[in-house]
Amino acid sequence: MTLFLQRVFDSFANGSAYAALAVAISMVFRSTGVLNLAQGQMAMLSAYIAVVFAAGADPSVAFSGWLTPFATPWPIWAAVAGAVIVSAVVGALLEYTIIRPMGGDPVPTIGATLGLYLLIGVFVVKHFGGRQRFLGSPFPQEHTDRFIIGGARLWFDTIGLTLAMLAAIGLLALIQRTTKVGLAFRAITSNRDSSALVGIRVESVVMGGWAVAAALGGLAGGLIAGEFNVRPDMMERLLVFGLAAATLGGLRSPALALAGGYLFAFAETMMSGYVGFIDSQVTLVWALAVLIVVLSVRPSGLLRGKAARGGIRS
Amino acid sequence: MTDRESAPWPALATAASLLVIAALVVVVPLQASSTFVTDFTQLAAFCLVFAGLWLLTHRMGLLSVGHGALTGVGAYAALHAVNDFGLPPMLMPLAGFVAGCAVGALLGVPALRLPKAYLALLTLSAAVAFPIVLRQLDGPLPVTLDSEFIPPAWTGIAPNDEHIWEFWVVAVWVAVAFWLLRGLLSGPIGRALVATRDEPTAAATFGVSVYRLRLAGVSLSSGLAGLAGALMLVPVNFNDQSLYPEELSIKLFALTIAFGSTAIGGSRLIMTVPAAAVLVLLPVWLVDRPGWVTQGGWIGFVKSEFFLYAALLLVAAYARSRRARAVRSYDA
Repeated sequence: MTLFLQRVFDSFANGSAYAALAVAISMVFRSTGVLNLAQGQMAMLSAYIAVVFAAGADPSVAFSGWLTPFATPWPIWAAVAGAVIVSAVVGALLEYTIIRPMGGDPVPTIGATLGLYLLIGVFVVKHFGGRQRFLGSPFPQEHTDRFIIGGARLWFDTIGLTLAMLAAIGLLALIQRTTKVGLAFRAITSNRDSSALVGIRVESVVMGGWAVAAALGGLAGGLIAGEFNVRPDMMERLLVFGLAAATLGGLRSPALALAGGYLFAFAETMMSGYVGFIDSQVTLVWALAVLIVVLSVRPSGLLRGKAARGGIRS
Repeated sequence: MTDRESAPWPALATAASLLVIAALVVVVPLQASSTFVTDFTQLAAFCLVFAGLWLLTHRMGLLSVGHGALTGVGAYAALHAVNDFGLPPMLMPLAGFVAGCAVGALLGVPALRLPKAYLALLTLSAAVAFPIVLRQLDGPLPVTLDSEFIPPAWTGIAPNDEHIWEFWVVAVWVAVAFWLLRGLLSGPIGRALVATRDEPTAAATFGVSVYRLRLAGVSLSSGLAGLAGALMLVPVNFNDQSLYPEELSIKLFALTIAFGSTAIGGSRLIMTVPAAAVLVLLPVWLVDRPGWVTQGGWIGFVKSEFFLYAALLLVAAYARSRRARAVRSYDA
């Protein structure tokens, strides 16, 4: 029982990261119909930016020297917060400069997100050397910083990461439900053309949606950098799990995407822990298999309601 | 069907292109070094991958970001068909084709009932997962093909010049596959595929089963990638997970979009040849310029291979979106 409980606790950190990416992907897709395949890379870039803020003028971090104005090392929490803000600005800029000119056509838009995928990857390799970096966690990480529950250890770091992610996602949900900006976002999600007719500045709201999604992904990247080290391929696995989790909600339900993120992390931890021939790498294949099964059985996601959109029409 | 596609490619240009390709196939392996011939063999095989992607993207309007992985599926199936089931090596491309078709259908069955983005989502996931699967199945080390392509005596090729024979074997498979594909696409099936892209509702009204036809198209496209994967084994004789990173799939997609744009020759099957040439020969060109690969900072960023691909993809995607908008405004 203790081992089971330990594995449940261990799945929280991964689950938070999967959930944040899944919610970010869902947010962009439901408002614009764009599947942002570069979401993971944007989060990885955010983790590197946090490393730069936290490392100060360390020349081994950014050898091109263009970040020397940030000479004083920042505390990790400030570095992550700074990276989230930069990510939001980058997200908005990318939407304005690259995604919007594609006019919403699926082939060019997905092509553009793949272009971003490559561009961000090579940018990180060329500017940060592509080497593995260590950021650390903004939460206490000493070996005594833990609760013992039923004999299993629940680290403060894991609690902090999970609560921070849930708080960020909860805050977004609250903004969507209670503010005029949130109302505009929901209106666009429901009917883009009608929203424009009633005076909502659709393009500005969509750009804001990209900024918020990038910030959420950036928060995931910055926070999980304390769990994994920062490296160019750190988000590849997370992207697949994030996509799979987002699919559980038909790419349109952030709530189910959130639940899917934790569900996938739980299943991943349990399978690699209890099934002998499945190691942590192969769980990625399991995520793919679940993706195929979910799409086959419930094409519109696990939520009942609107049927799958598109079909032969798109 | 757009005007550009329906416009006849001048017969003289077609004949000249085929003549040049035929001459290259016969003359190049006899004159060039074995390394160069091996690169050309890879190039010929990649033409098939691009043919599959061309069919999917330009004829059917669908998106796959996993054709690199499907190539690996074909290579895996072909290698084990020979090593474990004793299939004659000359027939191993068929195993690759069948395996590619099967995996393509597996991905297509759920994805094709949903908006187009889902096929991209599933194929990208497959592209990321495939190297891990292959590592789990075959282990971390390369697996060698238990057979060689020894040139028959009637060819007059010396035993140590087997690269020439290998090139011709691949070239014949590629030529036959292209001939069959072209025949298929120039008939009613090809027209029905275009109809499912441009007017799926009208196509369904006329009795075309849009879902089934799209599924068949995805399977065929994946099968071509699998066939190409099997053919890539011919010159190198081994398979390895490191040959199929997800970046390969993105590069394939980028070149398909770029070489299908009206700016570079239009969406014609022949454009698969320059696309494959860029994919195979650009790394060879970069290897001779080590400064390009190792340079860091902004200059190194702009000079890197992935930047070139990203720029190509973004420019081609933008050109395609402009063209789509122009067509829409003309229709309106």
